[in-house]
Amino acid sequence: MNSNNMDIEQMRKAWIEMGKALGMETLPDDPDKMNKMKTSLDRLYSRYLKGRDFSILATIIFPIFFFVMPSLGNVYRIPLAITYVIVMSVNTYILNWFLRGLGKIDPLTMPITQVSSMAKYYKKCHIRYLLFGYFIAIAWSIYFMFALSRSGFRDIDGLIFGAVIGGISGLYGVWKYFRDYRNLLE
Amino acid sequence: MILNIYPTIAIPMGLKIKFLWNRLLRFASLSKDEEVNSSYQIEREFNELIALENATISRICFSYSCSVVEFEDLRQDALINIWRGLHSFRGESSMKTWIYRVTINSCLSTIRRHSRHQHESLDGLYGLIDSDDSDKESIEQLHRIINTLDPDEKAIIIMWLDELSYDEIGAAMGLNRNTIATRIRRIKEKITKEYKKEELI
Repeated sequence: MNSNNMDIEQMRKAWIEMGKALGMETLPDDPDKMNKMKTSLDRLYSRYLKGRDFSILATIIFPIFFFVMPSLGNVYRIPLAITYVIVMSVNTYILNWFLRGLGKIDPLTMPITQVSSMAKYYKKCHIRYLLFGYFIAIAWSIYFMFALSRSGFRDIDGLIFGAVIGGISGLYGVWKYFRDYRNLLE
Repeated sequence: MILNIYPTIAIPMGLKIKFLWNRLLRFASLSKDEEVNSSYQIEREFNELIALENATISRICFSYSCSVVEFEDLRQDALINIWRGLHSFRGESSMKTWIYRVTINSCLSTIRRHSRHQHESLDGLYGLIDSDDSDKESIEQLHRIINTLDPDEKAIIIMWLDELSYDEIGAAMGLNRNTIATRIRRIKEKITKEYKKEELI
């Protein structure tokens, strides 16, 4: 028991010293600058917002290319367009879901346990989204390459090479994500 | 307010729009002076608050970080949230409890990067401590031990170390008093084990 008290006392003393020992960071004097500054949560929200808006545009515009591509066989145009629209619509829905979820996290008014559980939950969901999204992107890309090869597309080697490079860089991005973001299962 | 003073007689559309626009401008100009005065007052309050609670905010952010960059990011996020919250703080809890809640929430909701070179990052972080060697060692030990706790436990022990009451900790955490008491007991046991491990090493 005495050693427990000593440890706690040691902790308290170190805690007080910590406060004295850490220096003061300078802040902008101008309140307008403070009003314009963004937290990392704001920046994450902006990233999801841009992703969702791009996803909406891609859902509407990109399928048009399947109908104007000369090297694509007629039998594959509609299935490719439909599958692309479905995949991107689901992507838009998921990104919108993240946006609504992140928008609910309010560090100013919520209790700590609520912010902690929400942050942990959305981090886990983000990993699942990355894994799911990566798998779907690869599957659709393989289907697209299959459609092009069946349509007599001659530069399939270049397409496969591009897909492999893209796949490797995507995989590297996912690996970097897992390496860089910690405490995901806390 | 604008609609209440809108005349009920028949007026041509162009005049209606002009009338409403003038009312809107007058309303805006009346509140502008009040807005400027209120902005200076909040800026003053904010500076006084930060001067008073700087040690608390720094300690909390230091406890949640593993590198200098992380510490600076967390601190900046906390200060931005405190600045934003001051405008709407209505005294629902004590200012001290509110500062703890906002700062810890800022640390929890920040996406943080884990550095590949963790050893170098920690050295850089401990380089911020401006203290004697013996105090610096005990601060580093405390930081290492606190980092073995999960985020909720960290939050509780940080507030307990600053001698907040169980009721205040419960209000910030959103838990009842008895739960806080039980958790503090478990956290103390965990910390004592960690201290003993460190002593053995």
